Amino acid sequence: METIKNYLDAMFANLPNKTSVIKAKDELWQMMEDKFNELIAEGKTENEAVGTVISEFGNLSELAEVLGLEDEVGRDEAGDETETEAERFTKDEEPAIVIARDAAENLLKESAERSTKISLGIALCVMSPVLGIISEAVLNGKGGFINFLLVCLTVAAGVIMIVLGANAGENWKKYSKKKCTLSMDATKFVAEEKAIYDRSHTLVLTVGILLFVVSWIPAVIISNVIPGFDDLGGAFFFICVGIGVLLVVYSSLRSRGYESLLKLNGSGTIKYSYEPEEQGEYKYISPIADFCMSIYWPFMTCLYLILSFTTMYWGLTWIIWPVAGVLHRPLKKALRYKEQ
Amino acid sequence: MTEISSDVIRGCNDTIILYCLLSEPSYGYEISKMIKTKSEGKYIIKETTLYSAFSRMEKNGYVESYSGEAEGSGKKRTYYRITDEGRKYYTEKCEEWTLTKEVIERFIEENSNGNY
Repeated sequence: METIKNYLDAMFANLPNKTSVIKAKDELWQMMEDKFNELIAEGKTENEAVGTVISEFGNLSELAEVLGLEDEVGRDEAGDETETEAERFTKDEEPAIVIARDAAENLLKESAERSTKISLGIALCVMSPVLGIISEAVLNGKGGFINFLLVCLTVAAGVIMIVLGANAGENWKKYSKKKCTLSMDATKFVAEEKAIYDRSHTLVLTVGILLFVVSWIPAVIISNVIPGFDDLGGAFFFICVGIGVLLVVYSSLRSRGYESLLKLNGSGTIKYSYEPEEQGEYKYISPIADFCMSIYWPFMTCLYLILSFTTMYWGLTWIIWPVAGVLHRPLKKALRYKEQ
Repeated sequence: MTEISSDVIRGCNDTIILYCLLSEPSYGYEISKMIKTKSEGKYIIKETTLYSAFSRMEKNGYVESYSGEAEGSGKKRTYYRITDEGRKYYTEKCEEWTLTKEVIERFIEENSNGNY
C-alpha cells in the first residue's frame, strides 16, 4: 500500500497545483486502493498486488488533455517529437523533495517550541516593569537602582528567549531553501493536527484579547478598594497585558506553523488532499444565515453608535469592536458549508 | 498471445464504459472489474484511461459524477451515472461500431485453418 502511495506521489510530484489535478489524483488513488484490497483478499502477496496495480496504472500522458495541461504541452516546439507528453509536462529542473510524515511531525514540534519561546520572550519584555513595581512597593520607594536592575534583567531574559526561539527553526530553514512538497500521509497528518489545534486556537485568541480589554480592571479595583496597594495596581495591569500578549502571539505563531507547512504544497506542486478554505466555493447554510452575515458589520456599527449615543460611555463601548472581530470568524465557520 | 492494442481500442472505450453504466451507477474499480470479467480477462483497462474517459464524458454531458459511500466499508467513492444524452451517444457508438465491424471484416481474410 505504501509503495503504491509513493508511486502515485512521485508521478504527481511535479504537476501544477490545480483542482483538476487534485481530483484526478484522488480518484486514481481510490481505484488503485480498491484494486489492491481486492487482490489481497484474493490471496495475492503484497508484492504481487503492488506489481499488478502499478503495471495496470497506465500512462500519465493520457491525462494531459483532461487535466487541462495540453497548453503546457502544446507550448513546446514541435521539434522534439521524441519526448513524450508526460515527460514534457513532468520535467522540471529539480525534483521536489517529498517530506514524509515523521519529518512533518518534527517540523510541527519545532514550530511549537519556537512559538513558546518567542511568545514568552515578548511577554517577558511587556511585563518587565512588574518586578520593578513590586520591589518599589516592598522597599517603600527606596529601591532606586535595584528596581532598575530588576526591569533590565526581565527585559534581558525576554530578549534571550526571543533569540533562542528565532534560532529554533533549524529543520525548517533547511527545507525552506529547497523545493519541497508534503507526502500524502504527511499532508493528511498536518491537516488533521491543524483541525485539532484550530479548535483551541480561537479560544486562546479570544481569551488573550479579552485580557487586553479587561487589563485595567484589576488595577482600578486594587487602587480604589485596597488602600496602600495602589502602586501594585500597575503591576497587575502589566501582568494582564503580558499574559494577553503571550496567548495572542503564541496561538498566532502556532497557527502560522501549520499553514506554512501546508503551503509547501502550493502553486507549482500538487497538494494532495489538503485544500485551503479559500479555494472552495463556500455558501451559507440558509438564506437567513446569509442575510445575518451580510449585515454583521453594519449591525455592529449601528449597535456601537446607538449604545454610545444613548449611554455616552464612549470610553467603554469601543469594546464592541474587538469582541465583534473575534466572534466573526467562528460564526462564519459555523454557518457555512463547502459547495461540492 | 495477441494483446489488444490501445490504439485500436481507444475509440471504443466510451462504448465499453457506458455499457457498464447502463443498468446502474458505478465507480472506477467496479467498472474496470466488470470490463475484465466481461472480456474474460482479454481487456484490462488502465486506470489513467478510465479516468480520462470519465472526465471527458462528464465534460460532454454523457455521465454525471456524485460522491457516495460504499456499502459496508463506508469508504467514500466517486460514482458515475449515465445521462439521457449518454444513452443516445451509446446508441450512436453502437451503430458506428456495427458499420465499422462490417467494413473491417471485409478486409480480414481467414484461411481454412483459422489462421490469417
